[in-house]
Amino acid sequence: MKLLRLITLVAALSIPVVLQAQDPADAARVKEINRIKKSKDYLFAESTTKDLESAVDNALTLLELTVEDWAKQEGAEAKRFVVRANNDIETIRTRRGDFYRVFVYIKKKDVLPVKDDEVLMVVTPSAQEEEKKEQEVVLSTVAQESAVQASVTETAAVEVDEMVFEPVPEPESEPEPAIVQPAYKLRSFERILMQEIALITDFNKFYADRKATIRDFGKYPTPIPDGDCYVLLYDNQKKVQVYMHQIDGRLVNLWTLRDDRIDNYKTYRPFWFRLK
Amino acid sequence: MYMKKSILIAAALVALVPSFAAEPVSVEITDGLDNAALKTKMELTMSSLLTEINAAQEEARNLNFGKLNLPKNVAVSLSMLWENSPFMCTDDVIVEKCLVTPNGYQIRNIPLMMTPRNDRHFNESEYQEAVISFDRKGEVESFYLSLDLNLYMQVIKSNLEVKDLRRRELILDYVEHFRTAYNQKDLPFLEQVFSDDALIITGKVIKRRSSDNIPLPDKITYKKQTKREYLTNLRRVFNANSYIRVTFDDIKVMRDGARPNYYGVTLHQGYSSSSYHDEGYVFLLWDFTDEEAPVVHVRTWQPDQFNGKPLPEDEIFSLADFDF
Repeated sequence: MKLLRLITLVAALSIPVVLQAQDPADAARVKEINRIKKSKDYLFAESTTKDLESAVDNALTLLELTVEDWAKQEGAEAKRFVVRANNDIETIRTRRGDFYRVFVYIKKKDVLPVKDDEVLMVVTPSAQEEEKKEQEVVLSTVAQESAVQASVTETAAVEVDEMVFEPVPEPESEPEPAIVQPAYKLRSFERILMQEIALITDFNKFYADRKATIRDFGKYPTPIPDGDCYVLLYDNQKKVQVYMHQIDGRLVNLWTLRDDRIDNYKTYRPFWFRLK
Repeated sequence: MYMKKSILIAAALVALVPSFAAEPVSVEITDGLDNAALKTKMELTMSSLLTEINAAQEEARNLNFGKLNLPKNVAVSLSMLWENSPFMCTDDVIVEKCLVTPNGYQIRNIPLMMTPRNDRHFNESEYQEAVISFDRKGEVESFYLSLDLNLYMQVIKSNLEVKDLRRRELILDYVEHFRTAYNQKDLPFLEQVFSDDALIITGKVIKRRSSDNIPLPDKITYKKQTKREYLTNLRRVFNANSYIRVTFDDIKVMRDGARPNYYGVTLHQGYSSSSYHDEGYVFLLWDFTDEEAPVVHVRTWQPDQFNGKPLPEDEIFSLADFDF
């Protein structure tokens, strides 16, 4: 009996060690991070901070520097570089205690250094070009910054209340001809919002958590207001497929950084929100 | 007899508990080092060190250097860091590339969580990253905490004058080492990093009152010291205090236009010791002409408050104030 009590006591001392064991999902992500770090095929960066936004922003900034440095070492006189496809930057997010660890990475083959004397222009695609699997994002000679963007590998279903999937009227006008527009520069908070929106399961909760920054929002069939406004398009699986910014008379797809139209996505429905 | 047997069994079981408490930390160096034997040596050294750190933190004891085979100066500096605040490595697998430095090699981004003691004022983030430097034979040369990432990002993002990544990292590396030298009371490093003709200026706020005991506006007086005078006084401070804690929470780096190897670094510094605390601006004039051995020619300190208000920016020492 006494021996049993002693054994129980010793076992109890061991329990805190077991309880501190890492969450299995987090452990799997850390394992994936280490796999990527060991591979020679990737460029990566990471940041661990108390708030998620800073961690994402810092990690992306460091990745830009890493890519620039790598491109120079490869011999290219690159001040800019082209990312082969917009969604090639992947993100893995884990925790270290109360801190957020954000790890961003890209395959080396998806980074193409660009020489200064190459003239590049942003061209609005036609509807057919949207069907292509691989897309090229190019920087205009006006834009001096890199085109690195974040996209999230994990997407979550978004719960939408009262979705009404009614047919959308056919556009009356012909598609606009390809025109040259100034390059849209993705801002840090937009990258972060893209990450947050792709992960939310409840847009109402997203709004409630961000009341300090979101002025108002609306769902289909509420018309999208004029002026500066963000528009999300959901498919019938309630997943966010397109994220746009309506500004200065344009609707810019924030994943492709090109002008876009809602009626290019006939089966999707819009949510919109405006920032304070 | 039965009682003795029970106690022995229980003692054996309790002795096993610590071995389950601290997971060994494994280290893999991915890149930057072709010499396989050297790589393995450095990996094993780091693994042993980080595992011992975690074990000591878990068991609430001091670090045991007996089996680690570290140079004495490294053991002393680790003890100093531990005295300020014990810490632990957050990851049980470390995968990092190796950077080549003028003196050897460096592994950065070792994730640590600080676990400050209750009686200590701790004004930094609990999460820190360590840097371990090795000489060319793979022997540990130093272990120190890197600058807070936000400070690093300030330099990276905002300062157009420090574009070259390598030079930026070198400057920040030395600023990190400089800060750690105070925390670890590393007088030999400070002896080496200040040039022999370094100019040290220390500002002091003088609180004044009239003969009627009416407060008068504060005045800042500045005192010049030679390197020898400064380090002698610093030695006294180190001996008189059980711990010194220096933190930086703002940083500006400016390159001299006419002399591209000279950089002015302005830091907002918090200083705590067992007997004193202050905050102020430190300006350092760094000379990177010899990248293997950069030196500080000027160090100034000024209080960050004057007459109850923040010190005006144009009063803070900068590159423009020195003709050299």
